[in-house]
Amino acid sequence: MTNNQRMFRPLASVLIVIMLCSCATRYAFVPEGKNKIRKAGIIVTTNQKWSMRPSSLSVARNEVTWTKNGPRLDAVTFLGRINDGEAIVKQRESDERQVAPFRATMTPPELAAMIESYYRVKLEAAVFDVTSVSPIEFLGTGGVQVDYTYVREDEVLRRGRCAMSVVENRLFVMMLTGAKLHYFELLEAEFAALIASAEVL
Amino acid sequence: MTIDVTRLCALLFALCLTGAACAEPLDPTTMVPLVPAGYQPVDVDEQGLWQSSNEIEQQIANSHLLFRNPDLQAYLDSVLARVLGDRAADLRLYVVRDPDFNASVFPNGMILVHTGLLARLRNEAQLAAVLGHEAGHYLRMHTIDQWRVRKSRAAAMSVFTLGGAFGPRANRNNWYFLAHSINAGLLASLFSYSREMEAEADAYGVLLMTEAGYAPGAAAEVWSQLISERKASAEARNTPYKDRAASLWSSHPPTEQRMDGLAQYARSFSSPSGQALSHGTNSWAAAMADLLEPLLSEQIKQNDAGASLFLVKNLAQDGWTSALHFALGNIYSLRADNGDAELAAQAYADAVTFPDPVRGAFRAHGYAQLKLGNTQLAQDALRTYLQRNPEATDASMIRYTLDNPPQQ
Repeated sequence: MTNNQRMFRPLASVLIVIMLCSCATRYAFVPEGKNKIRKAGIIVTTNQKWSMRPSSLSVARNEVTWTKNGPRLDAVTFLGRINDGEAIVKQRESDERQVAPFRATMTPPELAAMIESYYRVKLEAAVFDVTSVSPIEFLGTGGVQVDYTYVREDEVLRRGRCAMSVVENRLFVMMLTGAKLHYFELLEAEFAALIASAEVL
Repeated sequence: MTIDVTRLCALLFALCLTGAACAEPLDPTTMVPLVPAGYQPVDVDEQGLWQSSNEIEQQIANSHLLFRNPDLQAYLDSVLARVLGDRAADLRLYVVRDPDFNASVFPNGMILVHTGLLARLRNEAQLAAVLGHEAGHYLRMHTIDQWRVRKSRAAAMSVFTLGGAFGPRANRNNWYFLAHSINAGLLASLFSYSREMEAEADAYGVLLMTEAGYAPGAAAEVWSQLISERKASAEARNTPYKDRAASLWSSHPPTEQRMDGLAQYARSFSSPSGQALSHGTNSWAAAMADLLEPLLSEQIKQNDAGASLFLVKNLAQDGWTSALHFALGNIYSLRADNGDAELAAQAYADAVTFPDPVRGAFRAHGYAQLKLGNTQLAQDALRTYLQRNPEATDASMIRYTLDNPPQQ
């Protein structure tokens, strides 16, 4: 190795780290049409343009989040390929509070309780009220839709809708969340269209 | 050699705390309120503090985190009135939705009680102990005294900030996290009290509750329950139990020391004029009858199974109810370890044997039996749930399940 190479090697490493950091914190454009969400293993067709939140801000496992006006106001989140026994987030056994693990045999109330534990444990929602649990056709199979309201530390009242299906013992999830005032309702129809178009990748 | 000023301050502060811990025990029987009835702030410092507290109170009164239940509010206000007599008019009580064990008092007399605290109490006397303690801070004028002390000890403030930085909620700045920091042993809060003040509020609280006719031993029971719960939580996670308040940086005395102190204060009292001191177990059970299930649910959904199991079994010492069996089933169901499906099914089966079971008991019983393959039993339970709750928000899901039973 020449002296020049020796000198530039640490500099190159720093530049690569800076590039990676800048990539991981930048929102990406999501065009209209068919989109493959590889991480979550879901394909959807969207009628609108979206911004994709950087993966460095993800809370859940295999999470991809789209937003129109910023995730604090509205968000569509895709989670997928969660295996039996895994939680939808990465966590340590010693953690005092745990998001309940997914089981392929979960009943609709148990799936709703698992989502509530995700909000309470990971998103620190002090208020989480399930407003309805209903059947839904999602990813070509019978799934569960849970509707809820919640309040996090910013005290904004938000609505949420979570569609879940178990395909070949793996959990797939799509969530719409938004401020109860205005933003959630704005995307309800689009979310229904996304759900209707969703396929397993 | 250089001297690290922060470390030096920390050491001096630690020595002060050690001294406080070894101080002579207080005599609650000689304590009197230092704040006169109808008190209003007199100097500029205190007026500013009250104004800030009033602004926070306005936020809380309009917050989505406020637990709005007129019956519960009336009951809690009545207990506060019994503990404080005519001084109750100077304090106002708000219930905040939060599954953690917590209560706090602000300088203007606003008391916050978190739903997680209510879920953990076994009787009215335990509530009186908590309210007496918080009122003790107010009536012994700790809020403004502490603020003045801090103002004049710039060096100590740097230690406080250092301690606060370790807390999980230390960097938040709204009232909700302020309330958390007060009693969580974090030092970032403006209104957190010294160990001496906590000990004094404990002693004064025991005095107030005893004068109101409550059994003073209930105060130590609150802490004994909390210690056992934290130990159960740690054991379930195979981690050693740590008392957060035992840290040298904590504003609160170590929890076990606090429990011993409370028990000692309780022994200083004999029944006033020979009347029987009450625990108020029945009145507490009546007030919490419809609330216990949702309040326990908040705790259970945090999935700290060790703590939740202790909590439910501790409450069941006063008698099992449908809500407690249902809660037990929910803990096992969410934990989902080997054998938990059977334990949950048994708990739900027990929950529906009561004449007036909690709302979701038949639904949970039905789904639990469905998982065990008892289809007929499951369908009967789900139909019963629909009959009892025809307008349930999950009725369509139940009907779908009945029409499409899972293939075994």
